[in-house]
Amino acid sequence: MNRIEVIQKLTPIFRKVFSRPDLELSEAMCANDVESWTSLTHMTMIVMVEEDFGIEFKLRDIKKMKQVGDLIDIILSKID
Amino acid sequence: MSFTSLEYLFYFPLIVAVYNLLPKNARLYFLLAVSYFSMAMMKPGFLVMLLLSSAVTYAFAILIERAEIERKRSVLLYSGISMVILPLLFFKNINLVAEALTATLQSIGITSEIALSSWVLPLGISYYTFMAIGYLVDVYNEEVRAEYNPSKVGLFMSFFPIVFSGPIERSGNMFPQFSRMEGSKLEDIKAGIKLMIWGYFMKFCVADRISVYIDPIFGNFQNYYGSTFTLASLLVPIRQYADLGGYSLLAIGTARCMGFSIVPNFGRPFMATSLAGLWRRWHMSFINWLLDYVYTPISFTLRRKTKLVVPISLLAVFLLSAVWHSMDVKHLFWCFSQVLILSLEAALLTKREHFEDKFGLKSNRYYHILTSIIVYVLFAGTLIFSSTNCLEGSFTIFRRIFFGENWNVMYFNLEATILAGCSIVILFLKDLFEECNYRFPVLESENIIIKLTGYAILICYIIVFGVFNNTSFIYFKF
Repeated sequence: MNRIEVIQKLTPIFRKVFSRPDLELSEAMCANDVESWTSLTHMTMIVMVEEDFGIEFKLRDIKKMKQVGDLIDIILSKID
Repeated sequence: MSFTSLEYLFYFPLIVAVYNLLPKNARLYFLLAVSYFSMAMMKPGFLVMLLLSSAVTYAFAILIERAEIERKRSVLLYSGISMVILPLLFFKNINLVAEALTATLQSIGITSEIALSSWVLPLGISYYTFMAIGYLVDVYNEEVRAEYNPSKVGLFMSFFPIVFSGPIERSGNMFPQFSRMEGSKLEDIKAGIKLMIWGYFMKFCVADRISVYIDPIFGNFQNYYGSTFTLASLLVPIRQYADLGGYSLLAIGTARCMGFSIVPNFGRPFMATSLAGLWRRWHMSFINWLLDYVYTPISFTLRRKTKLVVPISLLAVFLLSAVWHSMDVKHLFWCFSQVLILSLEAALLTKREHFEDKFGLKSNRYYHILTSIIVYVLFAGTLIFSSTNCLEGSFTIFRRIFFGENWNVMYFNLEATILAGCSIVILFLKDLFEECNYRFPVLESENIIIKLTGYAILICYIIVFGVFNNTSFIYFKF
């Protein structure tokens, strides 16, 4: 799986969790860019990503996720 | 040496001047000496506590980094956290310990008062303890490297602008700045002084001016009626904001004059359109600390176990915050009211977004104003629990606001109202202009003469209309 495929798989998750049907993901996107991406909705997104990709994050991974690009790096490291 | 003391206005330019005149490699030790001296001036015992905590933090960060086995790293992390947090827990609960001991002694027939209450909470202990915990966790999570220079760890824990009342800094922001120490540029000094002038304005003209009106009301709640309580309760959030926000600007401004960049503590909280949004702008360094080191670990651990992740994690955060502010029942009510509103907000977030999209409200300024006012009133309502000296007082206030008689009897002081009102309007306009990315008239003018005149007028305003008989800050006691 490459980065573009990961973004394609992440997009419907983000659109659903953050209630933004037209959301276009980019690697530089962070919580400040999406109004409903708060500490309260963040964990819902994490659970859905874990389920969809069949992976499990560690707390240390969560701390490293500053933007979507970091999330993709961590997902790819877990899939490989 | 408080920011609001006259001595500070004398020593502060001296400290900045000496800091800049010293060679680069001596600056770290100079700031360390100033910071330790400031602490010792308060009480030598406070410095001893700070030194012990710094030594423990220094040693455990290195031990955590050097440990290769994960289990050993965890044990070292929890041991380090326990050792730095123990003095805070002890001093915070010293009166409870004294009462329990007295009651136990009485139960076996010995009647003596345990005089532990004379033990004062060491100044700044909450703030350097939070910073130490953050540093140890960040080293454990490999977000920062352990610092091997004990002077840098010592300065991180004791840095005089922030040690007494925050903002709560992170090692990842401070250690690189301690390594650079290039000195102040003219831009830094200008920006720092501007922040400090606003800090003094918020403290003397807004916070302390409002305190003159509301402190007697909450202190003698039996003597006042609904209309007075309504006005006083609505003023509490502004007073809290101006007091801690003003202090924070003085701290950030002081550090900025020496070229240091400190995290902001407030981000125009009353422009928020949800309570969650308000908390993201309120006492930000503390809230972010709670989010990173309490909320996230709890919600991550519970993420698959329960659908109540948000309420449970919020409850843990606000319980901790309530216990830190004061271990009493009224703060627990404050905590539960916050958790209830925030959980409802989280549960209704999607519905609210759909509603706003359907009626095109997101860009409607009147809707923004209305929601900001609702959030402000809700926030003010919850603060009633923490404003009185007992839970009975809070309930009396609620009762008199909603069901009370004599609503036409109002404690009102025209002079105080005009002075406080003018200052609140200036503060509100400052926040509004910043929120809208507009330049504040006169004070942000591109014409240097107009700008200087504006700041000179603001300084005169502070001197003439400020209240100078209360030089302590609310958050010093935490």
